[in-house]
Formats: sequence, structure tokens, C-alpha cells
Amino acid sequence: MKRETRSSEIKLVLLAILTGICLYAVPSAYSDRVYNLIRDASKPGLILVQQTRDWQTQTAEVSPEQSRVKQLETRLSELQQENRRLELQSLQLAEDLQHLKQTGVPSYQTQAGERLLVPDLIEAELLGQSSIALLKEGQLLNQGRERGVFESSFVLQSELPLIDQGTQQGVQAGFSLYAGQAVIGKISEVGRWTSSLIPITSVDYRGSARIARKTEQGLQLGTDGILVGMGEGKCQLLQIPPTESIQVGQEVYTGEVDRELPLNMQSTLGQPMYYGRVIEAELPRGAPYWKIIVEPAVKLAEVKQVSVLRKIVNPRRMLAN
Amino acid sequence: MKCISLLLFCYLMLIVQISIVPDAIIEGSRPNLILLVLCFALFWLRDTQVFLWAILAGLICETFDAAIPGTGILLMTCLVWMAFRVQTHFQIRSLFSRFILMAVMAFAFDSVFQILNGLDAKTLPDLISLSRHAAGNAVYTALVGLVLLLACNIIQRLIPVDFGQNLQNRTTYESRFSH
Repeated sequence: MKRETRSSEIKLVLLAILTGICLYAVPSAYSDRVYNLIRDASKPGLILVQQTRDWQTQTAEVSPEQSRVKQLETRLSELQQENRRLELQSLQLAEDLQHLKQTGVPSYQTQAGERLLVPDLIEAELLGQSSIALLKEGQLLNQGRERGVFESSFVLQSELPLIDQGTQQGVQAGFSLYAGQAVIGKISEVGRWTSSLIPITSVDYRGSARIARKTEQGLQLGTDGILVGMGEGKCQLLQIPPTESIQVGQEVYTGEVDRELPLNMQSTLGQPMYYGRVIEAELPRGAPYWKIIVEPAVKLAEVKQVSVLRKIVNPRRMLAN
Repeated sequence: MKCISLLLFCYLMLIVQISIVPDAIIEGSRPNLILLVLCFALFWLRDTQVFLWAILAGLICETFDAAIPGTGILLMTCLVWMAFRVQTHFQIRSLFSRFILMAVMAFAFDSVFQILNGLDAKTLPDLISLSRHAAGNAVYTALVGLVLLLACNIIQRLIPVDFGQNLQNRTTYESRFSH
């Protein structure tokens, strides 16, 4: 090797080592400027990739007839939701009436007290691919040190969908997630700012559920069973005894007590929430339970915002104290 | 020309690493495309400019991986220095030897980088799982590199331009035994 080449090699190696040492030694405010320059330089490329992805999804969008069908489907879904809400309200009133018939109406005037624990729903947004990619920018090779500003890698690495609420907002693993009155899943892992969720169709999902029968007296809820995800957009309802009358089209609601959750994490909503509709029901001869397939009311792909249910101490009671 | 082409290649690889690689993880392994850029610079430039590319590659790794400042550059420089000495000594040209070089560099970078960052976070990872993870990443990186090298060779044969001359660059390369 020529002497000049060797000399320039050593000089450049020394320059590289010196650069490394300088970056380590200078305050982070200065080294961050260099890193921010590189981040800014990568932005146009990332935006281009994002725009290409958006354009691809837009070209896969629908014709006017399809959009009309979509509108009508949305309207139908809204009416069905309203119907369900009224049915649940009538169920609640029927239960109150039954209770009053048993106990009788008190002859003195009672004043309704405030509940100590009340449900608190936090709005959360489902993170799209672009947002997840942005968060993953901090995990290029997934070897970074924990500095508190980057999201937990196990949450980001997860294949599960993410929502934009984490421990900072008091979210805990196991909390239920709703889209309107429909259950869409529960929290799996909680990071600092984001959490992953298990959709009800995932094979990892288990939750208490019961079937509602429409009778002349109104809606009647059956025995609690266990709803498990089957993958492929469907769920199975297990442990429903043969004594129950099951028909295709019946609606499935959350159970009274979720046996999969500890007592301190049980729902405080005070009303059943909607899972979906029975699409297959079979009672094999001699089988101890029904074989029931349920189609979820809401598909995760159609949802952008969800509500996370948590339990808090009633703020009014706190103020009263 | 070489420098601009490599810069464009580096930018492309960076964007792919950030936006596409997370969707292409196989069994928890992901390729390190930035290291591949450095290897390509080593194979293509065959001179000391490669150390400047080591600084750039190290900076990129530190930026997007929240590493200890300076470790990426130091590590990349050390690795590329060794690779440069190996290259000048053995005149690496075949696909197989380049594949091995890429795999070894990826493995060394991955494992040492993880250990360094683990030391900083005071949570040294389990060495067996670390080496397994690093080996997976290294094989994936080397395979991607091999595919790119093959693609380069095919394009070079299909398009008869001067590009091939630059890739081989026999005129500027000199073995230490040629004196």
C-alpha cells in the first residue's frame, strides 16, 4: 500500500474517532442538533412514502353506488344501535319494576345518593400505520437505550393494533375498549404513551358474554358464557348450556361478571355492552354446551376512535368531602 | 458521481429501513440496511473515503436508535477499518466472500451495539439470546446484501455502461504483495 494512502487512512480513522468522542463529550443539546439534521433530512422521503400509501388506499376507494350503499349501511347501523339502546333501557326499567313489585314502594321520600365508584371513559385514537412508523423511527434497529422518550419496544413491536393512550393516562392491561356501545377488545400491553389492544376476534381474547332473547315482555338476558376470538373476524361463545334457547340472529352482550378479570377491574357501566350477533348455533347430540359462532358488531378496521373504560372515585364525592 | 450515487442509495436505504423494514420482520430479525450501505461503499470505493461513510452511517444509527452519542460512529469506524484491511489484504471480489464479510460485520455491529447500549441502560441482556438475535439480524442483512449485489451484477450485464468499470475499479486497487 502506498504511503500516502496509509497516511490518509490513519488520518480519516482518527477523524472518525475524534467525531465519536466529541459527540459523546459535548452536551446533548449540541449533539441533538446533528441528530435533528438527519431526522429532518429523512422527513421528505418518509412523507413521500406516506403519500404513496395514502394514494394507494384512495385508488382502492369506491364508486358512487358503493358509497351510497355505504351511507345506507351506516344509517342502518345507527338505527340498530338506537334500537339496542332502547331495548336495554326497557330491560333496565323492567328490572326496576320487578324490584319495586317485590319490595314495594317506600312510603317515605328517598333521595338518590351519589355512587362512590363511577365509570370513566377515555377517548383514544387507533394509531394508523403512519403514526406507528413515526414512533418506530426511534427504534430503527431496536437496540436503543431506554431514555424515557422512546416508547416501550414491546408495545411497538407488537403485531396488535395500538391506541394513543398509555400509563400516563391511567390505562391498565385488561381494561375494556368500546366503540359506542359495542365492545371491540381489551388492553394487552401498556406503554408510556401507547397501548396495544386485543380485538375480540383475536384468538387471545376471552371475555364474559350472554345472549339476549327478545320476548313479549321485552329483552331477556341468558346465562353467562365465555366469548373467545377465533381469528378470521369471528368469535365463539362457549359454555352456554343446552337449556338455553339459542337462535341465529340473537344478540350477544357482555356478561354480568367477567371471570377473566380480577374483581377490581370489573366493568362499572351498570349495563351490558354489545358484542355482536349469533350467526351459527348448533347443539350436537349429547354435547354439554351449545356451539355458537358470533359475528362482532364492529370491525376494528372501520373504527378510528375508541373509548377505554376505567373506574374512578366519583369526583363529586371527593368534592363533597 | 460515485459519491452522489452512494448518497442517493443511502437515503433510499434509510427510508426503507424506517418505513418498510418494520413490516418485513421475520422471526424477530430485521436487516440493517445502513450497514449494507457501508459495505457497498467499501466494495465500490475501495479507498479511504469509506471512513467518511462510516461516520455518516454511525450518525444515522445513533439518530434513529437513541444510542449513546458517539458509539455508533466509533463502532462503525472500527469495523470498517478491519474490513478495509481485510479487503486490501485478500482482494475480496467474489459474492461468497462479500456475503461472509457482510454477515460478520452485521453480527459484530449488532451484538456490540446492543451490549454498549445495555451497559448504559444498566440492563445487560442475556448473552445467548443476544447472540441469537444478532445472528438472525446478520444473516438477514447479508441475504439482503447478496440479493442487492446479484441485482447489481444483472443490471451491469444488461446495461452496458461504464458503471461496471467503476464497480470493479481494478485500476485503483493495489495489492500489498504487488510491490
